[in-house]
Amino acid sequence: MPPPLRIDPRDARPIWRQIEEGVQHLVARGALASGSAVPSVRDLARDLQVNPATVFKAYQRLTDAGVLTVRRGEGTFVAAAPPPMSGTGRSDRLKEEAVRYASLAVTLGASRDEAVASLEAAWRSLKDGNGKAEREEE
Amino acid sequence: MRGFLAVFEREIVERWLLLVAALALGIVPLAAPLLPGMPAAPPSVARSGAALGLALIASLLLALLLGGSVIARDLAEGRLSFYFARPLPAAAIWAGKLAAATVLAAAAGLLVLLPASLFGGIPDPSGYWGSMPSGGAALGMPGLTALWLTALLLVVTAAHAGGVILRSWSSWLLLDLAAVSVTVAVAWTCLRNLGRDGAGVLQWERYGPSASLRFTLLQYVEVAVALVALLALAAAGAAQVSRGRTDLRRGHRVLALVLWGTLLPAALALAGYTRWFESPLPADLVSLHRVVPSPAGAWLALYGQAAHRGGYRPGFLLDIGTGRFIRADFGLRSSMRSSLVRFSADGRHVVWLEPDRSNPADLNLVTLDLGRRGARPRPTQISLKGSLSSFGLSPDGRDVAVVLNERLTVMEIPSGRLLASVPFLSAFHVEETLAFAGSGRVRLYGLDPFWSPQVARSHRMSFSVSELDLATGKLTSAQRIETVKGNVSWTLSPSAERGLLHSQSVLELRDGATGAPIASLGGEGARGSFLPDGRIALLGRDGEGSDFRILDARDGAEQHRFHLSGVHTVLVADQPGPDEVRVVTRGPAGTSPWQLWTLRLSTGEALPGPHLALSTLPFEGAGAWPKRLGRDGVVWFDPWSAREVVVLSAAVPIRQDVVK
Amino acid sequence: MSAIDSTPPILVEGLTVRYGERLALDSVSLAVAEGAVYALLGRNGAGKSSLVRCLLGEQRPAAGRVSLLGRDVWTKRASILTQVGVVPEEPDMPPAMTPRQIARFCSRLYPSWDKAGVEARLKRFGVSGDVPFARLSKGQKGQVALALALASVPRLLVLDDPTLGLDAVARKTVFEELIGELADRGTTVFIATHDLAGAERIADRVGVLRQGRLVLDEEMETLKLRFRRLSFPAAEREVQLAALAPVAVASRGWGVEAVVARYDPERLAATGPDEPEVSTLTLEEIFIALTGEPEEAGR
Repeated sequence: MPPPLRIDPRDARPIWRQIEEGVQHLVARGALASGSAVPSVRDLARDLQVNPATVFKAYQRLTDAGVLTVRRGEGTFVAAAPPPMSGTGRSDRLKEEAVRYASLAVTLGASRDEAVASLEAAWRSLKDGNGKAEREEE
Repeated sequence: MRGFLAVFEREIVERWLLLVAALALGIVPLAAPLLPGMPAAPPSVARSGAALGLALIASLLLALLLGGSVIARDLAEGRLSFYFARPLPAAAIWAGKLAAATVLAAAAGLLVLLPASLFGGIPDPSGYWGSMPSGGAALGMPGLTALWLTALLLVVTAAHAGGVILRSWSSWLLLDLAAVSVTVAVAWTCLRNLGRDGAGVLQWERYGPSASLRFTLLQYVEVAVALVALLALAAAGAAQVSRGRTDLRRGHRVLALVLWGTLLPAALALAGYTRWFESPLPADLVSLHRVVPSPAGAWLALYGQAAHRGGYRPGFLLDIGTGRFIRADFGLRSSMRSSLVRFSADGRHVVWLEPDRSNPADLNLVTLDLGRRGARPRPTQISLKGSLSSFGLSPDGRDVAVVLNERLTVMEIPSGRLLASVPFLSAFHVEETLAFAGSGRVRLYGLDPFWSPQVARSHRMSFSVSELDLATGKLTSAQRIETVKGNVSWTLSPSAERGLLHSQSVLELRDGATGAPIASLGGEGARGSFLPDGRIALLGRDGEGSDFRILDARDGAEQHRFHLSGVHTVLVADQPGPDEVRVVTRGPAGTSPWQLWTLRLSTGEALPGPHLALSTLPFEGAGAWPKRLGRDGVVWFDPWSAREVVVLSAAVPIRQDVVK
Repeated sequence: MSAIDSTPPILVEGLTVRYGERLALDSVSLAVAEGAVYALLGRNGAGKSSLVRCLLGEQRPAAGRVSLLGRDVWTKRASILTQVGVVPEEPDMPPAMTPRQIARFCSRLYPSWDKAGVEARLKRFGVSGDVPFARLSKGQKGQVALALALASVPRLLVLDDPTLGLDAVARKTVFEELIGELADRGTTVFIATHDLAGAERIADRVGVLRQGRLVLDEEMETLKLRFRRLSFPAAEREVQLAALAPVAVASRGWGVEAVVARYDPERLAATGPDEPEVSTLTLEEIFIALTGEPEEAGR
């Protein structure tokens, strides 16, 4: 049974990016274990009711990033040990997402402490393998 | 082709129940002999006749319904896009659907015939066709089948056009209505006029007994009209489907443009052809049926066969002095023996009967004043409906007498007033002559010629004179007047006081009122005629020439005599004045030229000419009917009455002999 | 994804359609790349159907031209359509024929025909192949049309509102088939639709027709990035609003709502001290902002 992945049309992010980040999230959370199969492009596109090209693009980026590997004739799998991102790539990405989170917090009128607390709670829940808190947040 | 077949097959398969229904319908004619109203025909004939009629109706009705819906309905209901969304050429869609409609209609017709043909043999439609007017017999089964299929195609394509036009229901409909009215009106008028003119009559002179196996010109024209209509409808339908595609309005526009862009010029062409057909010149005549000279003046009424015009017999009033001519339709109903044109005694007035334009069965009386230059034919109020057997004009040209529907009727031309009408049985006589005698009397002479020469040699011909007194309306008849043996002919004097009875062996002067003999004027070979002034011109021949004598009509007494040596044939041309008679002469040889002479009675002079501007044209032997009208005049020859004129060139010596 | 051809499979240039005085399409130009999914949106009467008819060579435009697969569609329609699958807006199949009979008819017209595919799809849709077309439900008719359109193994698929009037389940099956086709063969798709949620998920590029003019023709990605809704708590921000050039403005009880087509946070910050609430838009919301009123049909 494929782990849940959701697409939100309200999200300004392109669908392929939502898929990419969703898979990254599932892998980071451990919901997708190393070496486990991910749905085929065709199946995922049907499940999400999206253009297969979009799924293909997300998978390709994930493969390029080393999150997924393609075994010819067998399908696509979560890479054995997802390698850490390269230094600059990782820090750029972290900074970008932090800005997004910070601006969201500001928009919602949260204080800095509240924001940090939420971040820590999210970190904890991920490490515990419990995605519920995050989902409720959304 | 693959697309065409796919569409064609699909349409047929979808409607296969129609064929079953047709087969079921075919059982109905089997009961035809049991119908109470059925005439006492053999059962097989009744069955096959009913089956044929039903098959024809069913196939035409089906062609109408299918042709009108097979494309137009899909188009109106937005389903033609099904075909246009597939790799199907527009031509395959159009042709496949309409071909299927035609084949279904034809197959349904054949299936209706099937049960009757199993019971009583295959019905032969040509047997039914045979009772129809001339031409049909030549078609035979293949021809009739082709005709039927053409009719189905015509109905299918026309129904398709109509279906598109009606379902589109746009303002273009008004244009269509206008165009269809114009086209149909023009075509109908043209075909009716051609029919009235005799385009639908076969020339028996040309074809003889085989004429019934040939098509008339009108039938060719009708087939051409049908084919042009079919082509226009097909082109318009094809253009509508290929240019308008799934757009009904646009398709309608394209259809209308192509259809009327073809049919209106075609109608114009038909109108032009009809106009050409109805405007022959005297030079177009290829044979003359009859020439009627005016008693005075230079006018001739003549009619005959015109070139390339089927059975049309145009008539002309021709002034041989000037060459001026007026076309008149007295030839349309005239027969070989009696023409429907009459001159007044002074040659000034001419009247004739021509078929009515809108109702060709009626004959309208038309008059023309020849004395007035530039006068045009004038219709009168007199129109004759029914079967006409005799026609006469009073010497003054004011009154007309007819034997119509077994009544002798006299009318005044200018007012159309009825002067007298009495029952008169005329069927007995084959030849009738109607004449106005002086003091308000109308006479009718009846002769029954023998058709067999053997019978004619030993029998006397029946001859009768009837007289109507216009003042009292009383009709008196003298039947069975004594005649001579053999076929005779009767020539009446201008005043109707006297008549000449010709036979092979004798020429007699007789009383115009009673038919009683007055004098015998000559034996075998004697020919006589009345001059316009009432005297008799008598021609006889001896070994070395001809005798030309002028006699008193009262008693046959000789007044003048000319001996024409070396002359074999003499024809009286006309009498320009009381003292002058013009004759045409010719030597013994068949090829010798003709010469016109003026004979001055008072002095006995014979003056050559004046020459008419006419050339010598070939005769086809003496005693023949008129043969030919040249570009510059008439060539005509009827030695029997010896009254008609013609044409010549070089002079022949003429010796004159004045008696007394 | 296959390589981009030098000429796009769909190329529309200056397309103008007139009905009498009325201009149904006003000089519309667009191109669809090989393998792309193009969604054409527009309210009823915006000219979608005219465009589709011109696209399929059913209608001749007053001006401009359409080339499909590199050839002029008006003159070469029949040969081009061997490689094109079509799903019409209104079911137009012969009503008396069963889907199976229609399939047999169609199979004769195309160079290749996936007979098993038709059967499999009809089975998946739950449509009987032996019921006359007229007796099928609207949804089933559309499904039959899609099954037949896919059976000819087309290079190009043109769908004219394939989900119009369909319930959610039927809509889902239609999209699933379409997605399967895209996954298997990378077919180029042109879809005119009212189904904005569906289009949003599968379209690469979106065109919006409004009164015959193509007011939008853009990649879905950039479109979603640049549209934002700004909600101002108070109504007295007209000057600030005008500077943002909104495409739609609506007064609410609590303030003013504006949709901007070119969202730029820096410029927004420069316009004044009042920070509006910024939210993203769905394709449907973008469509409504562009065409004026909410869409009523197709739900």
